Formats: sequence, structure tokens, C-alpha cells
Amino acid sequence: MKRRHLIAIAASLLYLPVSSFAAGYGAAGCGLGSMVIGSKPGAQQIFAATTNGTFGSQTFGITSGTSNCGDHGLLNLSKEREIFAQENYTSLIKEMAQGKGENLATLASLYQCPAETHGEFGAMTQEKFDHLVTNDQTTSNELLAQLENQLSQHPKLAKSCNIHLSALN
Amino acid sequence: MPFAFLAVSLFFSFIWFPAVSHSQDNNAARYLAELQQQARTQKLSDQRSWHLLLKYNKKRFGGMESEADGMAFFNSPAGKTDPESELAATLASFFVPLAEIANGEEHPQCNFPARFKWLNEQLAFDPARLQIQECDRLGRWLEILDPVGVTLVFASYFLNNPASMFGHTLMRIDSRRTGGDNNLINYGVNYAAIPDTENAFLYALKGLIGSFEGRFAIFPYYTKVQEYNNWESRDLWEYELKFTEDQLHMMLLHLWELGGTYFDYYYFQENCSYHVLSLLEIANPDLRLKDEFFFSVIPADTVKVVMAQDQLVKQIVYRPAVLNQMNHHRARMDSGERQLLHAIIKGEVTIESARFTSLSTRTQALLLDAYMDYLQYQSMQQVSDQEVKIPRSLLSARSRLRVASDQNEEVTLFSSPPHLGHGTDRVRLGVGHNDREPFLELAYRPAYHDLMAKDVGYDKHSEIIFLDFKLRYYFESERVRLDRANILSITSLNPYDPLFGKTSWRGSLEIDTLRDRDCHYCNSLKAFYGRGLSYRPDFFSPLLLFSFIDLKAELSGHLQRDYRLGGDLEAGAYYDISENLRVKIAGSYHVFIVGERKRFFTTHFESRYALSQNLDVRLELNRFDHNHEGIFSVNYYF
Repeated sequence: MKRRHLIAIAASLLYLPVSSFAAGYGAAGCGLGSMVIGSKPGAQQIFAATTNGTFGSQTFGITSGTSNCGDHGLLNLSKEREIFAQENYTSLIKEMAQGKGENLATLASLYQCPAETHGEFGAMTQEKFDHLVTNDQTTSNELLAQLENQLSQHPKLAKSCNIHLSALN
Repeated sequence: MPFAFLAVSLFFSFIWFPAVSHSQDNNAARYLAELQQQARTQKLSDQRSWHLLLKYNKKRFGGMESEADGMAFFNSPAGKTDPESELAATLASFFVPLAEIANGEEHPQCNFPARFKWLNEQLAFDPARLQIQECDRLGRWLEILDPVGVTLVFASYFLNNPASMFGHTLMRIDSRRTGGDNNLINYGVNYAAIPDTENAFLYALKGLIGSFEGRFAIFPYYTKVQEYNNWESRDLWEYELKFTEDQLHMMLLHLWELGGTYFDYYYFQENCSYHVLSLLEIANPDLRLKDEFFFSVIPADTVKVVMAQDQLVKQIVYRPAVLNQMNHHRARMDSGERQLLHAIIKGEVTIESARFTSLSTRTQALLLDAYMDYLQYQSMQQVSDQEVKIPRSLLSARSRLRVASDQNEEVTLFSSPPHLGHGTDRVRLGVGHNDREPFLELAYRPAYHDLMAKDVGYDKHSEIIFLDFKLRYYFESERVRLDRANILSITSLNPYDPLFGKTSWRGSLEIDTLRDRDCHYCNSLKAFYGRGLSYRPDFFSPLLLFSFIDLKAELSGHLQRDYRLGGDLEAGAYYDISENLRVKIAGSYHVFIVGERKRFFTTHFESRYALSQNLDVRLELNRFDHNHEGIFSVNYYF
């Protein structure tokens, strides 16, 4: 049994460097391109992070044991918004500028805004865009902080959404 | 067998019960023996569900073998090949006292919850005699995933890469927690090989012979949407499937078991689609999806199999690739607006200039939406060291145009649902006549799509022909000749697009007949590679023009000096007269300058009429130098 732990640890260490190899091929065909990050020793969990190769510099920053990932192998609910915003940053700011979109509606859901307010949510992000994205270097966390700020000032959304409850429950 | 079984149960009782008091030990051992006996009486280890759970397949020469290659998947040392001993050992493992489990380890009941669930259903475990374990991590995992549905996702081809036409499939677990409209934050399940080489040749070889490990993984679905839709710009087709919650629950429990093991990944057989189908079979063992496949499991075919099941698919959703979102905007522009977009992308016109700001708000928004899609695609490509992103100034300008983008209107489909495509195998029966005599033609190929076939469900600019064998029987010569054996032939036509400027290319390796010579249908080994330009007025236009310059080599004992090297120049056109009727006309001039020298023309006319999804008829008229032939054929896809 101890030996299996060692193998599992060794394997999980091995997977990380391996991930860079996928770079040249991406997911060009059937079943290539995603990577399993080693599970906790002895744990029967499955979890993958999309690799460096797949995302260029936008690594899906989850490895087993970091605060983003729960011991069950899924995202920690408390990090759901941050990770979503980070991974879909470009799509999100594009949709904010357009005032509408699926990513934006999902973000609204993550703030517990009821579906009927998503239109208003989109309009608000379009209207306040210059406050949300303040420069070309704005990070996804800064974006969320600004968004929460705007949400709490909004006469209607402040009531119908919930910026404190971090997970979609 | 009984001996092995006894040995295994003894083995387990020794290992797992030493510290427990004797009476408990005896009770447990007695109950275990009862259950094992009952399982044998009911022949549980012969049941389809058990075989599905453990991935057992019949071996060619009798016996069973599991596809799983990680040994942690089995409780019995003989588990890979012995369903009965595995079942007995699995039952035994459920009796392990919790105190025996090392810290950080899961109890076997929690490691193998699908087996536990199924065996419990068959044997009705008595909780008074078998301690039922709490599975904390599993419980929380299930709580988050909380499935109400599952979706089969097909990633279609991407530009300029015909190999991607084979597609990829993955699954999405649709959760109660996220509600109906938040599919992006549902979880995706993917089965993939873990490649360990960068060498393209080794990569292909290892994929074919199964020397990569394949593993299941689970991750937020939006990461896959980013990967396929935005990074690779591939359309996604989502098939929402109908299962009961109990069936979905079983599928997840099984998935949990699979997380700890691996399979040898075979690119053509045990690939992503094969394993996805097996997940569906676990959910509902009455489905027999994998049985349909013999030689290879091609993702698009698995979608067809799923579609063919009675009421399995609830809904089909199209998720366009980022460049097709851009194309959707472009399709709504007039030619002046399109030219302006190209000028903006090239940097010739700025969005501050009067030429832009004088446009209507709606037109400005349309142009900026297309431009942002283009930049989003480029931002993920890393073609140069310079980082590309959508500049804030552009986003800000767009946000001041208070028209929401028209995402509510009908999306333009730039690909068609894969289940509507023709089958990937093809047989062909033809009759023809050349200058001398009539002949009969018989051909078969296992894959994949040619440019004359109806292109619904396929990339309409790509062709892959793999192992296409064609025989002819000549009536007067009274003999059978190999007319052509196409080992691999690929064509990628990239209609000119001012934004990308990609050329077309093609290559082929085949045994062909030396058609420009009168050598009694002698064969040559032929290879060619060429580049060219093609043009389609717009994506939905029926006309496609193409031209190629090819380099060509032919080997044959019937050629002077046994070979010839040269090339050809070809130009031609495809035209869709109606949805089902396509014609092609092409002419080429061949020049061989090394080995046997020769110059000659060929001309080619072909028409195809599709009678149904899987049946078409074709008429071909060919001229090779001074030789003529005409062929009428019936092609059936399956």
C-alpha cells in the first residue's frame, strides 16, 4: 500500500512536465490535449487542468492541493467566480462591451442574480464598462472587484443579486 | 476455478480480519461466504452489467479480459481476466473494517461505489451484517455534480486541418445546481491519451499501437469551450441525452471508479468515443452502442449511433467557433462594410477616423463585434512574440454603442450536425467503358469523405481518403485488375479569405493505373504533393474554383527507366446545381522531365446525385492523354 502511494506521488510529479509536450498538438484529434493532474496519493479522484500547451500563457491554474481545488477533485465553490472570470476573461470583457452574452449571463448567475435581471446586468456592465476595465492590464480579480462595487451601487441589482455568497448554490 | 476462488477468499480473510474480535470475524466471514455463494448461484459474474462495470470483453480465443490496465482497478490479482474471482474479491473487500484502511485511503466501498451499488441491488446487503461505510469525499463530489442530464459533445473540424474532420467527443454533466442556462459552469468529462512524445511520427505510431495511457478527466466545461471554440476555432455540437436520474447516478459512480485507472489508448479503436459510449452503456445497460463498431470507432459515427437510439437525444445545440461568430457578422455586412473591416484589421483605417465614426451605430457595432472576434481568436494563437489582445480602447468604443449585439437572432450554421453526414465506410459498384472494352468496377474504403460526396456533416472543403481499393473486371480481356489502391489522400481547399490568406494543399500516396499508356492496365506506385489557390464567392455559394501545382513521382516497371518525376498543373470547378446534385469539371497538364519524359493533358468531368444520406450515384467521364473512359457508379455509405 505504501508503495502505491509512492507511485502515485511519482506519477503526479511526472504528469506536470509531461503537459508541456502536448503543446505542439493541442487537441488536434480524438482525445488529445487534456491532462490529468495527479490525484492525491491513494485518492480515487479525477480531475484535469487544461494544460499550458492548450492555453498558451493562460494556464488553467489548478493543480491538486492548491486552494482552487477541493479534495473531491472539483473546484472549491468559494473560488468558482474567480476561476470563471480568469478563464473566460477575454470573452467576458467582450460581452460586457456588447452588453450581452452567455459568459456574462453565467457570471450574473454566479452572483445569484435571477435570470430576469440578466438583461439589466448586461446593460449595467456596458454602461459602466470604463469603470470595470480601467486599463489594458486590468486583471480578472480587479474586474470582479470593480463589478462588485458597481453591483452594490446599482439600485436594483444590489438587491436582487448577492455579491457575498460566493457560490452558486 | 473453485480452488482459485477459495484461495482468494482465504487470502482476503487473512489480510483483512486479523485485528477484529473472533465472533465478529466469524460473523463477517460467514456472511461474506453466503454472499459469495449467492453471487455464484445467481451467476452475477456472467451478467452484462458486471462486464460493463469491469470493462470485460470476450477475448478472441475464449475467456474474458478487462480493458482497464491500471491494476488498482481490480480487487483480485486475477481480476483482469477472471470476472468471477474479481466479484468474490470485491465482495470480500466490502467487509474490510474501516480501522484497516490507511489514512488518506478510501474504503473499497467508496472506491468502487458503482460495483457496490449494483451488487447491493442484486444481493440486497444486510446492513446489520455488513457495515455500510460513509463516503465523505464521494458524497461531496456527487453533491456538486448533482446530475439531471448528460450531453454528448462533438467537436467538429478546424480550418486547414483535414485530420480534425474525424472529430472528438466528450461528455458534459448537466447539474441541477447550475440550472438550465448555465452550461458553461457544468463539468465536462473527457477521455484522452497522455502523450509522452513530441515527435510527430512516434506520436502517430504510439497512438496506433496503444502505447499511450488514456485517462478520464473532469473539468469545468468552459475550459473546453475556450479550447475548442476559441483557441482552435471549432464548432461544438451538443446532443442533450435523456437518462433517468438513477441512471446518471450510476454513470457518475462508475466514472469515480475510472478516475483511478488508465487504459491503453488506441487511436482507432479504444479512443475517446469508444469510452464515451461505454459510459452511456453503464447508465443504461440495455443500450448496445459499442457493438456497432468493428474496425474503428470514428467520433462522428458514434454520434450517429446515439441519434439512432429511440428517444435518447432530447435536443441538439450548436455552439459556433469564434471565427464562425465573426463570419456570422461578416455575412450580414455588405461588400463595402466587409472591405472596411479588412482595412480596420490591417490597421489602414482606425476606429477614431471619420470614415468609421460617420457610419450608423448599428454598422459600427457590427464591424466592432467582428473585429473583436478576430482579435480574440488571434489572442490565443501566439503566432508571434507580440501579445495580441482586444485593446481597451476598442472595447470601450464598443460599450458606448448602446446596441446589444444581435445574439438573439438566428445563428448562421457554418457546419452541419455530424449525425446527418454519410457513413464513413463506402462500397462502390460501377460499370464503365473505355476505348476498347466494357468493365465492371468494385471498390471499398473504410474512411472517410471525398469532395464529390454530399458534404452535410463534413468540412465542405476537405477530403480524406484512406485505404480505398478499387478492382476492375474487363469483359473482353477477361481479367481482374487492381485499378487503384489509395493508401492515403488528403485535400484541403482553403477558399481565399483576405483575412487569412491560406493556400490550399493536397497530397497522396497510391497505387494507380498508368492511364496515359497502353500497357494493359499496368500499375504504378504514385506520390504527389501540391499547393494551390481556391476561391468561393462566399461561404454558402454553390461555386468553388480551385487550382493546383503538384510535384509528382511514379514508379513502375512499365516506365522507361522504371520511373518518372515531374508535376502537373490543374484547374477546375465544383458547382452545386441543387442540394443533391454536384458537378465537377477539371483539366490538368502533366509534365514529366526526369526518367520517362512525357507531356500530356487529362480532363475530368464528374456529376453526383445524392439519393439519400447514404446513397449516391455518379457519372464520370475521363480523358487521360489519348485514352477515354466513362463510368456510372452507385456508392453506398455505412
